[in-house]
Amino acid sequence: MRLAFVILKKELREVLAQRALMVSLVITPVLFTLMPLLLMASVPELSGPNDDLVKAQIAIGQQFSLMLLMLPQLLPAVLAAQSVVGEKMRRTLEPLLATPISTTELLAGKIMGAVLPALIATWGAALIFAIGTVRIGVTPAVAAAILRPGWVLAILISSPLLSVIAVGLAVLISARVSDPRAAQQLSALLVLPLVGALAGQSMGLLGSSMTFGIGLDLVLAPLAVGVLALAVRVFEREAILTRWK
Amino acid sequence: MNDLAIEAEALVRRFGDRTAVDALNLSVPRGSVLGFLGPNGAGKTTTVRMLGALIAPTSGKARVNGHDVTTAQDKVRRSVGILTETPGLYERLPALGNLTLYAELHGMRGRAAKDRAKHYLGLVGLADRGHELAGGFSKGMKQRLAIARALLHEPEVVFLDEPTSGLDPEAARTVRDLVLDLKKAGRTIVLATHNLVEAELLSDQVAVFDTRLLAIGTTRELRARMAGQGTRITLAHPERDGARAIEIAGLARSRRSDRFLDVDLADAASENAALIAGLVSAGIEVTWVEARSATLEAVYLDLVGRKK
Repeated sequence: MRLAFVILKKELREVLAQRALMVSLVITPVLFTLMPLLLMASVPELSGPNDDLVKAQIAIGQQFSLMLLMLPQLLPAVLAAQSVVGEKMRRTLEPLLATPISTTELLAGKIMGAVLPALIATWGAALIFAIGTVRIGVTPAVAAAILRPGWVLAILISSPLLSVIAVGLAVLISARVSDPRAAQQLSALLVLPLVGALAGQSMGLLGSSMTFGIGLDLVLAPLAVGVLALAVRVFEREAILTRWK
Repeated sequence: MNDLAIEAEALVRRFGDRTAVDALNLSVPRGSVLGFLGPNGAGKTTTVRMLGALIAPTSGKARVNGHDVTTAQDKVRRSVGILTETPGLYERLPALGNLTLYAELHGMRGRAAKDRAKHYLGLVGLADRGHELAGGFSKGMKQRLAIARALLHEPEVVFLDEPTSGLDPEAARTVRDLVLDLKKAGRTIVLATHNLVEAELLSDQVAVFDTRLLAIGTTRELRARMAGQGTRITLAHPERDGARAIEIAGLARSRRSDRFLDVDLADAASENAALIAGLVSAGIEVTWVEARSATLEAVYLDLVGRKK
C-alpha cells in the first residue's frame, strides 16, 4: 500500500496549490461554525427579562451542532470530483494508470486525499464550535447540553465514515458515467441524504444522544466498507480510459 | 532472453461493434525502432495501450519483454514507458514534483527518486526549470517533460505516441536526438507518428497500419516493394544519347524523361554493372547512377488508399 501514500501526498499538494479549493475548504466550515455561535451569542441581547436564556441557547446549539456533520460529506464530494473526474479531464489519468499502481492503491490514495482535508476542516470547525459554546453559554449547563457524548462520538467517528461514503460514492459515479461533467453534477447530489437528516433533526426525529451516535455509526460503518469495496470493483481502468472523451 | 522485445499474434480489440485493431501480428527485435504509421483513428493508440497493458485485447496474444500483456500486466507496466498522445502533466505541480511522483510510483524512494527525477530533467534540457510549475511551460517543454516521465524508470521498451507533434523544429530535433540516444542505449522504441520523414529517419522498421497491418519492413524494402527494383541513370547529353541509351538498356524495360533514364531490373545488384558498362562502351556519357525507389510518403498513401 506504499503507493497509496505516494498518491495521497500528490493529492494534498494539489489541494494546497488550488487557491479556490482551499478557500472553499476554509469558508464553508467557518460559516457552519460562526452561524450558530453568533446566534447563541445574540440570544441575551434579543431576549426579554423573563425569557429562559439557557433553554434558548441550548435549542439553537443543538439544532446547529449536527449541521457540522454535513461537512464531511460536502467537502470531500468537491475534492473527489476534482481528484477523480478532474484527473481524467486534465488527461493525467492515463500516464498514472500506465504505472504499476494497483486499482486499490490508486483509489485508497485518492479517497484518503479527499477525506483527510475534509476531516481536518470538520474537526477544526467542531473544536472551534465547542470552545465557542463553552465561552458563549450563559451557564455551564448550555455547553453540557449541546456538547453531549453522542455529538462528540458523531464528530469523531461518524464524520470519517460519512466522508468515506461520500468519496466512495463519488468514485462510483465517476466510474459509471461517460461524461466527466455529469459525474461532477451527480457527485454534488451526495449531500442530499444529510440535508434530509438535518430536516429530521429539526423536527425532533433525530437527536444527539449517545444511542443516536452509536446507532448512526453501526449503520455507517458497514455502509462505508460496502461502498469502498464496490468502488474498487467498478473502477474499471480500461472503461475510464476508452469511454471518457 | 528472447531476441524479440514485442511479439503480437492475431491481436484484436473491439469496442462494441467497431473493430479498432484486427488480427495484428508484430515482431519487434530488441534495441530497434519501429515506426508505426497510420491515419487518424487507425488504431495506433489502441495498439499502444494494449501493448502497454493499459487495456486488454479482445482476443489474440501479445508479449512485451517476455511478459504476457493479459496475465502479467504489472510486469509489463514496470518494463515499458509510454508517452501518451497528450502530455498529461500535473500542471499545479513543479516539473521536478511531476517526475519525482512518477519515480516514486515506479518504486524509487526519497532521495533516490528525486535524484533520478533531476537526472532526467537534465537529459531533456530542463535542469534549470525543475522548480517551475509544469502549467507554465510551453508545449515543447511539456512534451519534453512527458518524455522524461516515460523514461525515468529506464524501461526496456518505450512507446512514443506522436512525440514531436506540435513542436517547433528545434524542439523536434531535440526529441529526435533523444530517440536516437535511446536506440544507441539498446532500448526498443515504438514510434507512433504521422511524420513520415521522422519515421524514415529514426526507424529500423516501419509498419503501416490501418485497423490491420498493411505492410511492415525497412523503408527501403517498402519503397522497393511499391516501385519495383530499378535503376535511374542521369545522362549528360540526353538529346544526343537518349534514343541510343533506351535501345541499349532494352526498349521494353526503359523509359526516359528529360535527363533521366529509368530501367526496370529484376535483380539490380547483378544487372547494374553490365548495363552501365554497355552504355559507357557505346560512348554514352553517364553523370549519375542511383537506385530507383518511391518515397515513403508514396508508399504510405498507396497502402492506406488501397485499403480504403
